[in-house]
Order: sequence, then structure tokens, then C-alpha cells
Amino acid sequence: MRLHRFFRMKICVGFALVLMLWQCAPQLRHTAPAVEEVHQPEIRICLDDSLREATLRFDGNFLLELEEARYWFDETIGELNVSVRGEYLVIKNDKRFFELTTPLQVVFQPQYEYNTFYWNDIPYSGKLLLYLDKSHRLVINQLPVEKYLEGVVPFEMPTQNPEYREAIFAQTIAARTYAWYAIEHPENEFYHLFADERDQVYRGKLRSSPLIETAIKKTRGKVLALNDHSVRVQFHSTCGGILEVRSDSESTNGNPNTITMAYDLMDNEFNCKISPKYRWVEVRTAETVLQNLKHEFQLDSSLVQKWLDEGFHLTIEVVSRKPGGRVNQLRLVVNEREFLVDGYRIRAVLRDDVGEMLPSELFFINQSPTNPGKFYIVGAGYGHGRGMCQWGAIGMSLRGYNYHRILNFYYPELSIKTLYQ
Amino acid sequence: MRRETETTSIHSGQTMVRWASVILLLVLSSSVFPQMSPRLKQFLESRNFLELIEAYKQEKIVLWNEGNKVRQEKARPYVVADGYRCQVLATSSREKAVAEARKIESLKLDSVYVIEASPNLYKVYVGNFQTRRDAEIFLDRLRNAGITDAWITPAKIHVPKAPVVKAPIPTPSAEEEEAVGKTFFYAIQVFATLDSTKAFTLRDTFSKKFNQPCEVIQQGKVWKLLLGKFQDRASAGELLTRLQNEKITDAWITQVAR
Ligand SMILES: [Zn+2]
Repeated sequence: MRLHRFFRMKICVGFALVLMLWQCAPQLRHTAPAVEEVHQPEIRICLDDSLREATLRFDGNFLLELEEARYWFDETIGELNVSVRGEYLVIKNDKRFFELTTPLQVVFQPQYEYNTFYWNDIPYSGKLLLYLDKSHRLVINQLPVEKYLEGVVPFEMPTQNPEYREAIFAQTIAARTYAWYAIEHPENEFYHLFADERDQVYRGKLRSSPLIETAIKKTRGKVLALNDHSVRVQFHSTCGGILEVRSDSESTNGNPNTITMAYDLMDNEFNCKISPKYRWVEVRTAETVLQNLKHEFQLDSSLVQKWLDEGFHLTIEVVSRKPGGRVNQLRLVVNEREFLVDGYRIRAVLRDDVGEMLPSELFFINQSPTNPGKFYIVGAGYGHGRGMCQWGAIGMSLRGYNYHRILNFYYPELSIKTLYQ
Repeated sequence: MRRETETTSIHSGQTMVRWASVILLLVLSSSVFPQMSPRLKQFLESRNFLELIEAYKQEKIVLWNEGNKVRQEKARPYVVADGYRCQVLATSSREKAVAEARKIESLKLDSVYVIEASPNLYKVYVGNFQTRRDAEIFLDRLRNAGITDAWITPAKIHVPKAPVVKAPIPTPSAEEEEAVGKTFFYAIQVFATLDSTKAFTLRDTFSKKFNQPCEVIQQGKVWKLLLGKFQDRASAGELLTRLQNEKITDAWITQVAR
């Protein structure tokens, strides 16, 4: 709440400053649009929630307003090192030195919309906010939703192929819906979404393509809505041909998590068959699984070492499957010690040697007939299988379906709504 | 009625076992993981995954890891047995024992061991002999070399293991072959030798270096190394070029029946 007020104040100050500058430098007025866009909400993205050290540089003018003075930053200042040293936030290079006491809230405010700051060499537009106190070390990027999408969609889908156009349109609308829901249902007072896999991967202006720009422009303000309300949409890379359908509590009368399945099938063809993860085979050893269990359940190192030295039996049992065949619960027994895992953890305990998660929960296992310590995992898809299958959308796009049809196929209960023009 | 049901279930059981072996065979034949062989990929992609689960799932498996201790034991080039050694020295000084051991080692007669028999008692032993007779012959050699105050003592000795020859890669059983259909593939014969151990050592080297499956096959007394597994001659040709670039000129493409 405190920060909220702070933001508002900063926006006002920033806005006033921009107006002042306009009057001082009328020649700029014709070449550059102002920062604010009408009716479009801004979103706050957490770039880092445990800041220790980072690099920062600017392309164009940014204003840092502190109690004692205002400071302008631009490309002439070069790269700055930002670090948290005990009670202080230190921002420095050979030209500038700031040592700011925490708790603090600072805003780097761009003069124009196209100004860019580089945080750890990744270019971003919008404001950079740093928020530090005893329990937070947050780095936040605040920017208009449409700008945010430019840094999201290219990381959700391959965007160079013009034939993927309708799928990219569908993905853009899904991503905007995701952002809209987060803005309407903030989980904390500081930011709406993470910039990593916890939400949607967001990498600022790092990657762009004409197709993305078109998709964002042509679908501007369009979101999916459930009876006109914002809704938490889900999507994933590849369902492997089998989608997981969860009915919401309202429609199932107090049965909150009824899971059913649907085939990702159109014209007698599985839509995501073209995905590189449509089918996969992985191999694991008992030892790798034991190491994963050690990590997941924080097992005592000496106990694990004893098993590794003296030998162990590992039982892997699929206890139950969901209607679509996805593993619901996995039981693992090392000698006499039993572990029950479900959900996300199923993929975690079956990580490979370098820590890569199992692609999905849609799999079956086969013991190696020659090596008693080895087994195979034959699987399908990548991700949880809920909501839109991105490779399925691409498959539909390739066969000539438009984004309305794609969205309607994956989100039959939702309809498209225009939030702003 | 009941009888009929039984027959049906047994029959489908057999079918399942056979298909399970087929899928495993396919999995195994794609030895470069996690890449699937084109044949396995095609097979998996051509079916609804729910049906694949039903047909091939093993919902419970029990794995066994023998443990590092056993593995190290197996990796050791010797086994421990009862026998004889020549004892050269017993002393309370570790330095003295080590110095004496170094001296004998420099004679290059046999293995030398410094063993802490009890706290502050170090013994220097030479050799590993299964019979007292062998030890006596060695004792003479020691004396000739100037070590005159050595004597024979019963001891735990290291006996070298017989060289391990890995079994050739198992060929699919008749049933599996029938199910997959008899097929041919192209490979590169890169080496032929009478020495099976050498063939198996080289197999691993080749397989790693070129990231290709490598098989040892026996024809009469000759062990042949076949590198790669290709559906067509052209692909095999590409590998052959790679081999030739690596100065392996004595290799050629061969067609193998599976
Ligand atoms: Zn799909």
C-alpha cells in the first residue's frame, strides 16, 4: 500500500517533469511521443526478488529523483554496478557513486517511451524500480501491458515462421489475458508477475519480430473472459495429444477439481504432432533417482552415501493416473524408506543427471532387461497439458484455422472481450 | 464361459509381452540417448499415447543398485586369497619401512607392500605366491639381489583376475525378430581382430569418438567391429567419409542382416 502511494507520487512527479521538459525543449515535441498511453493499464514485473549484484546502463534519458537532488542518467554514463552491501544500496562506476541507505524505494523514470535501460544486459522499456528493506530486495520493471507483451510472446512461441501467424495471435491474447488477471488479482503490493517460469518468461526488448508486432497491434486490448470477468488462463508447450480439462467449482457444484480429458485432435490429426516433444524417451538410473530424492526431500547425506556404498533397492510405482493418462501419484521406495510424490514433484524426482526436469507427467516406465539399475521413461508432451497447447495451436494455424477458432478450441467456455482500443 | 474368458486373457497377455519386448528392443537399438531411432519415433508417433500406456506400461518396477563397494571390488584387477609372501622387515619406524620398500621396489622384482600389522609395527612384504614352492624360488632371487634376511610367511595375497571378456551383444530372440520383421541395415566395418578383448575395448572407443552405436560380431575366429546403423547406404557413406577424414582408411560399408 505504501509503495502504491509512492508509485503514484512518482508517476505524478515524472509526468510533471516530462511536461516541464516539453516546454523547455519544444523541438522534441514533434519527434517523440509522451510516455503515457490512454486506457492501457501498466503492469509491474519482478525481474529479481533477491537482488545482490547487477549491472545497469541506459540508452536515452532516465531520471532518478532522490531527496537531495535529481539525477539524470543516459548512455554517456556507461555501465554501473548495482549491489547490496549490508544496509546500503551501492550504484557506482568510475563516473558516478551513490550509496543509499535502506529501506528505500527508487524509481528510474524514462523521459520517453522508447528510452531503454539495460538490467544485466537485457534491454527493457518503462520504469525501473528498486525496492529494498529487511525482507525485500526487489527489482521491478513497470510498463504498459502492450509493451510487456513484446517481451513475453517471443519467449512463449517460435515467432519467425509466418505460417504460425494465427497461433501467435492466439498466444498474444492468452498472454494478455494472463496479465489482465494478474493486474486484477494482485498477490502482493509490489508487483504482479515474475519475469521467469513462475509466470511467463519476460525478457524485455531482447527479441522481436515483425510478426510479434503485428500480432500485438492487431489484437490490441483483446483478452479472453469468462462471463465478462478476468480469468486465470493456462497454456503449455505440448500436450502430446491429450489435454487435461479441469472444471471450475462453479460448474461442478462443489466438486472443485474434477479432471477430465480431451484429445488435441482436429481433422483426425493430433494438432501438436509437429512438436519436438510430441514423443520422447528418457533413460534414468536408480542412482540418479536417489540423488533427486535426496534433493527433493532434503535427505541426510550420510544415509544416502550409505545406500550408495552398500547398495539399495529402488521401487518405482505408478499409484494412480488421471483420466488423460497423466501420472497422478508416484510411490518410490528406497530400501524401506517410502516417498509419495504428486503434481510438479513427479517431474522433479525423475530429473536427469544435469537436473533437467522430466518434460511431462504423461509417461510410462519400462525396466531395462539387461541392467537392473536402469529404466526407460517413454513419454509424450512438454508441460502440464492444461489450457492451450501451443504446438497444437501452431498445428491448427498451419492447417488454416484462424485465432478465433484456435482459442475457441482450447478455451471453449471463454469469449473474446476488448478491454481498450 | 469362464474358460473362454481365460483363453482370451492369456492370449492378450502374450501379445502384450511380445509387444513389450518389441518396444524395449526398439528403445535399446537407439543407443544414443536421449535421441530416438527414427523407427522408434515413427512407432510412438503413429499411436494414441493412451493406447501406448495401456499396452506397454510397467506400473511397478524394482531396481537394484549394487553399491560402490561391490563395484570397486569388481573393478579391482585382483582377488584376495590365501598364499605366501616374503617378509623383508619388521620395524617400529614407518620411515624405515618405507625406505626399505622403496629400495626393494627399485629392484623391480615383484610387488612390494608396507603393512601396519599393529600400531607401531610396520612390516615389508614382497610378492604374491599361491604355493610355498613359488615363494622359495622368489626368496632365492631376493638373496641373489642382496636381500639376505628375508623369510617366507603365510599371508593374504592378491591374485590377478582372469581377463573379462564381455559377452557379445545379445541378438534378438526368434520371437522378437518375427515381431519386428527381419530387417537389414548398413554399417561400417572398421576393424577385425582375433583378440576379443581388444575388439570390445575398441568398440567403446569408436562408439564414443563417433557418437554412433558400435557392435562386435564374431565370424569364426575373427571379431569384427561394426560402427553405425543406417537404413540406407548414403547415410553410411557420410560416416565413412568422416572416418576417412580421421585417417581411418581401412574401413568399408557392409550390409548386415538383423
Ligand atoms: Zn497438443
